[in-house]
Amino acid sequence: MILELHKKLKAGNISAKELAEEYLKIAEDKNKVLNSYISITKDYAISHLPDKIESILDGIPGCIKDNINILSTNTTAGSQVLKEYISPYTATVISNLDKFTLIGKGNMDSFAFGSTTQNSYFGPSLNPHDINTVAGGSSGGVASAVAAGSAVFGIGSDTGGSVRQPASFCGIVGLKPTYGLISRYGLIAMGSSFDVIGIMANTVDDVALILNEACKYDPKDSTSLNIKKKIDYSKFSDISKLKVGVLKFNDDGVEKDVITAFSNSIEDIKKLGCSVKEVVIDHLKYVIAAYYILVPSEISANMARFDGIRFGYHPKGVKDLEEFYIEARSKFEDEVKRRILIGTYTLSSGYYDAYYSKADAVRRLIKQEFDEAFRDVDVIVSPTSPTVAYRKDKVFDNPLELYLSDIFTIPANLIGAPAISIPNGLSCDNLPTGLQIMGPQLSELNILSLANKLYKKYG
Amino acid sequence: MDKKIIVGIETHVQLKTKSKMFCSCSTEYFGGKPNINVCPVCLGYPGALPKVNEDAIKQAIKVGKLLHFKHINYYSSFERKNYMYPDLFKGFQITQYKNPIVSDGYLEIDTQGEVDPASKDTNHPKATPTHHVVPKKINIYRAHLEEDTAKSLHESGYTLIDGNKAGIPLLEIVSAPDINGAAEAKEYAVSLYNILKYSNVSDCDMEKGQMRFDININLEINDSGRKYYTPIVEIKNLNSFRALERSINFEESLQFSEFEKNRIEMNKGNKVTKGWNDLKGETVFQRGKEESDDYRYFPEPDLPPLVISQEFIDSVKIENSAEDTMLQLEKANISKSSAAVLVLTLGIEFVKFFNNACDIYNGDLNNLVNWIINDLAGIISEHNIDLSSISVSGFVKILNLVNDKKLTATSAKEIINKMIVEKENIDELISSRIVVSDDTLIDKYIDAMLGENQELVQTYLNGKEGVLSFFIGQVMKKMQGRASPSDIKDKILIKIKNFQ
Repeated sequence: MILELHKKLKAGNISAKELAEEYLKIAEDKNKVLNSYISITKDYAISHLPDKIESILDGIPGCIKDNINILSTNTTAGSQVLKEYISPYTATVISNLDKFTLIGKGNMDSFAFGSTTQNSYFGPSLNPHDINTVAGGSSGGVASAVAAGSAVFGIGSDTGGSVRQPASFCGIVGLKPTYGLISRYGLIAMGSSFDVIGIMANTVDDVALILNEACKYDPKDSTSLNIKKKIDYSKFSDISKLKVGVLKFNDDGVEKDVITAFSNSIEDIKKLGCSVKEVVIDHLKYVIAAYYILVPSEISANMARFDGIRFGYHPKGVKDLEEFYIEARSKFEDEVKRRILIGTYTLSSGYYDAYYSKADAVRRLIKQEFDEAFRDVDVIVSPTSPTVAYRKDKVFDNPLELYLSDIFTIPANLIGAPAISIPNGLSCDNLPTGLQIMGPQLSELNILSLANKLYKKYG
Repeated sequence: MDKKIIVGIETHVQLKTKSKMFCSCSTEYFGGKPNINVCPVCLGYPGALPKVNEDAIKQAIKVGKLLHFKHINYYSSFERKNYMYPDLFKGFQITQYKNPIVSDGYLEIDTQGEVDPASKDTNHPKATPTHHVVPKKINIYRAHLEEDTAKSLHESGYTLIDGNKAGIPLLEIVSAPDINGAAEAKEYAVSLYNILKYSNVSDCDMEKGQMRFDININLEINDSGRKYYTPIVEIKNLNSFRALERSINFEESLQFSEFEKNRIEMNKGNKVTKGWNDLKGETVFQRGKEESDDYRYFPEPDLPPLVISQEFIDSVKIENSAEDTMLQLEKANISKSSAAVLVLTLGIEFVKFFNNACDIYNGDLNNLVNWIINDLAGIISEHNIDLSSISVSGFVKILNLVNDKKLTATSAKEIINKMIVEKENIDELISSRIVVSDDTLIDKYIDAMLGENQELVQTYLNGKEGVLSFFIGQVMKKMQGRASPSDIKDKILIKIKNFQ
């Protein structure tokens, strides 16, 4: 899709301005129902149009998750605390995407804590496939925008599945690259050792084209990978000899339609000529526990800077510092408070060894197990999410129920590996299901290539 | 009851680098406009990430070499130290907790011991007739990199925050509790100051907070053959050598008298934190153990472990080491006491001046050092003049004329003063004061002086020899210092005999 648009723009069949206006119009219309965008950046888009079309993404309409800083735009991270916050600088990934057209900032769970966008201060984003269901999260706004066609591509962030799960819910493609492949500089941190910038689009081709632009070594991010050999991710490789591992998982809590779609995908993979074998990860049952200790621990420190002093909500008329802090931090949404409390607890003296250290040890074990598994297979496939999109009025008994649905996506974040979600069918309610393909670190070309073959079949 | 005081010192030193610890903002924070050297990184803005400053690593390695650290670690790591305070922008300080950049060093200090006739070190500048100098090793556990906080200013009910200081590189140097008393503490601190300042690791300006001390202190009390340890007190933020000394002395007597009263010994739960009130001259309770912060240290996920190679360590050169310079001066037969003043008190710029002067100086180097430490340094500090503005060749030219007996020391002092303070042309000054070589001319001045002071000549001849120096002074004055006092003296003694 991007390539065709690029050709049209380049040939002058359509101007960047016309394309921007077209997408802005769709965004404005659809946003009334879907609430994909926290802000639609019409003025910004029109005043930043490319003079001429050079780079592949010049003039291509995109939606950026609202936790990624873009100079002089409102960046809220989906929270009341940053409702009025204007970014004083631009994230590296945005600079890398050259002169794409910013349609708007995508809605998200507050500070990316959640998987429904219902934790957003700005209300949930809905799923274009069925507006009685949510778009997923935390990058739900971006997924909703891309699926609804108000943006050609989207940039999100993925700490435990926040790109892949909404992509799966909304029936689009979502890539979480290797940790460090895309600079995090300018992404508002959640769990810094898990966070990656992810890419969403309607086709695998488009995701690959965007990855080509987005992944540059960034000296401003000390965890950024400096890869000497430049790979063209849009030149897919032959996957007929690929060894595909099928993750063994517990069926409990996995919807029947999801299992059916997954079984069909395995048959399709076999038909492509790939060998298929089951992969058992013994410690899989611990990934959620480890993740929900380590990430809140990092969150508890990352959220400390939101003290209301330099930016964000600034309390007035308080009598002392303590009251100032209490008032400033009372504006956090409930899930934010919950995770700060969990993380503060798990790092506390006397509990650190019981929680943080153990969880970190589990993380290393899981990494070892996957490393071991990737000696036998090139990629591992699983469903992306145990369910299709939730109904927007679904009541969860407790936060844990929702946390458990991250079972398939979390491992990639724990071990820093790349994983992609592609649509692989529809449930009986006509809601998309997703297939996840995960590989060892820096195996993006493999997983994109396989994803592309399978996607072509469903697309 | 016998008592021994036990002190460990944590020294925070701001490392001298162009940019901050984790961003490229300038480290110029003193005296300028507030909040000008700031960026999203050091202000802790959402999404900004730290990046380690290589120059700070080099400075830390320098310290590793200067303080004889056994381990300059190939692998060290950063942690987050969490606490909320308005001047700590991220809500945590990035520091090195588990794996410091250097570990296991020491500093040798001079301590005063009673004179042992067998091993009397009378040469040492600090030795006294009843005490000699005993070297003592103070072990240093570790030194680690971290970042400074912003500055809070409390004004008319408001707190104002200046971010220019936020993120200045700090090195925390942690000594073992090997320091027994205020005098040793001061000696340790002063030595550290001299070493770091001389090697350009830090300016160590304590008024600017570039060097500050936290100490842990308690007493070992020996009573009827049993040892007791008093509860440990941490005193935070001591900003001068004087405060360091005074607070230790204060705490020493306080802990002793409290122990006599209540005999409470140290345990895991009774460490307290205090501050120092300089006006009242006393330590002030801040908090007990149960209220102490839980810093919730954990690995800094934004910074991979710091891995440095032996090649990198080798590439960090100590251009100037106080210790090495002292040794060189010793080899050049400069007296220890003069060398100590030149190197430790006056510092690197004066040593450079001395080295440049050496090349063209034609006399005994001890004299040159004395001219520098007594005359040059005195004038410079009195008139607040920049050493770099002074011509080495001009200065040495004057001294060489003294050595050649063409100028008197008195004239030389006068010329040096005029050259430095009034920026006068030294050639004119020299030519008007060059020593008169014509004996008959000197004789004329002496004759005239004796003629004018006949009564005093009689006084002298009557046995009051003290007036001789008056005679010399009179001739010197008339001759504007153009003859040496000893020559004049000799001539007067000969001539005065003729009056008898």
